Amino acid sequence: MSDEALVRMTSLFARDERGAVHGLNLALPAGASGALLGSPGDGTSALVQVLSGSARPQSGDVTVGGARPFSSPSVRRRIATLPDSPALPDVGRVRDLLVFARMLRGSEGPRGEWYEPLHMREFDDVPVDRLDRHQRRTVALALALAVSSPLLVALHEPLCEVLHVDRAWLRTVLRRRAEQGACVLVLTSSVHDASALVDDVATLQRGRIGRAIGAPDLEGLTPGMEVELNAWSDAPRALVSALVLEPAVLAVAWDSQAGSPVRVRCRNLEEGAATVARVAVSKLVRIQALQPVLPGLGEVNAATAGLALAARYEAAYRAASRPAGQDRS
Amino acid sequence: MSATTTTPWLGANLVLRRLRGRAMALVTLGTVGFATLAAFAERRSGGLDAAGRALQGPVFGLAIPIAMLSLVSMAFSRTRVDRGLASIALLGASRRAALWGAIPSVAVVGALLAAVTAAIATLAAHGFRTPGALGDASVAAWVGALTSAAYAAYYTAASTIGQNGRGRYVAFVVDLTLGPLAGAAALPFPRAHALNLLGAEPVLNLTQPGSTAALAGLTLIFAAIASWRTSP
Repeated sequence: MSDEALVRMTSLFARDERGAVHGLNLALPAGASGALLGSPGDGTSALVQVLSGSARPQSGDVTVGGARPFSSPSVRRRIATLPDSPALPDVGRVRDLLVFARMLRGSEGPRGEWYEPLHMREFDDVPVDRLDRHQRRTVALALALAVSSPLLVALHEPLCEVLHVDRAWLRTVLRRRAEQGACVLVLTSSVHDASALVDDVATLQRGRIGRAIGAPDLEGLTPGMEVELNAWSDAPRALVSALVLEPAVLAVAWDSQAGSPVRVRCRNLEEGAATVARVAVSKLVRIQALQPVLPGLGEVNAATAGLALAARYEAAYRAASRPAGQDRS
Repeated sequence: MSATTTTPWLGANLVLRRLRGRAMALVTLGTVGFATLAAFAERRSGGLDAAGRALQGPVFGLAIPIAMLSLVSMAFSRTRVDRGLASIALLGASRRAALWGAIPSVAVVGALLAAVTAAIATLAAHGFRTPGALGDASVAAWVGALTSAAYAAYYTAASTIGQNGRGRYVAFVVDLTLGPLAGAAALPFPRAHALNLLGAEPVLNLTQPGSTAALAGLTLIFAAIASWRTSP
């Protein structure tokens, strides 16, 4: 581990109601920018809590800029954080909260970088205790990005349940923070989000750092999102026979039981829905309902882990099946 | 304003906002209602010192301590002090500095509630037209205010102990059992000095001014303990 580490975790054990990290050792230098891929069950939300100083580690140590965030207000003022469930202090309206934050921190980053892009004007007059979860996370992200010269930026699922957030804009802002000397850490369960925001990704599995995932792995892990639609109709057989001929449709399935939907797999939700509608009109089939099939977090995690394992075994298999002489060429 | 001056003010603002709404209305109505009913009951049971019995028994024995326990619990979001202040700590506020705004806020709100409760209970026990009732009510109000300030600090200090600050419930039971004693064991508890000020047996033969000073001293000592036990 480097002595110049800005963020250092030593045998860190931290727990919240959703998961825990176990004996984490990590040293991150100033200007580092990366993502830890895992779910709250893997300890991502617990890790953000101890990094932000809102919770004390159960054992081990975490320091940011040489001080423990839990016991150092001056360090906490320079930690930009978006927790899983932000507890914003009820000090009146959102405008009052922003003023308090500025007064506590002594300064504020340029408003063009966070206030306008996150449309904070919409929330200015909303009482803090009336914000819903999406609005809370949006205000919390704004407060995080308002830190003028952060030591650490730790964001939990910054592209999820946050309003008005744009991937390209956030990537630019995070890159700028890293260039200014901050350590940027994104914690997410989405490979897509991780690769959209930072370049270096490692897995956090059941509270332990798994392996670093490089750019080639990421391409393999995000092979183009396919979507699935369920279409209920009065003539599913006719619909299936017409859909199989459509180039936009990748696969069609129907189990011929009464009331079961036609499952349509396609690359794009809008394109798939438009195709189903067009085919239904041309074949005079009545569509009763059309619903996208969304995977749950568990399925996403399982798929991510499966793809990572498959990529690893494929690489190992290729290395093993290569003739011995080729290795040294 | 710098962070040093902003933080206690922020702590006070946060706590005062938490001490509003339906829960606060319930605590107020419950405390005043219970104390008034208890005072009427003492008056109906007869005897010369109905007010003294009501104040030393149900009012200062149960209603005010339970009300203060509820206020402190609400002020820190029904959890430990450090977790209750976590939302402002995340912005870089010192929890310890915020506490110096939070405790006086709970104390002031509690003092108002206890003063009104004690005054109404005294008037209800005496009867509104009894000569000297207003004078007794004002004295009871003053004792209530002073006692509740001590309770605010006492329960806050206890809320730094245990998971979710459950130490305050232990503190309530300890005050309830040791506070009425006349020996040295009762000295650190607000109840002992409040009872002395209401005319009960004094702790270690302390005078009433002595108990007044003791309540003020306990407020400062428990506030200091709470501050010392809370991370910055």
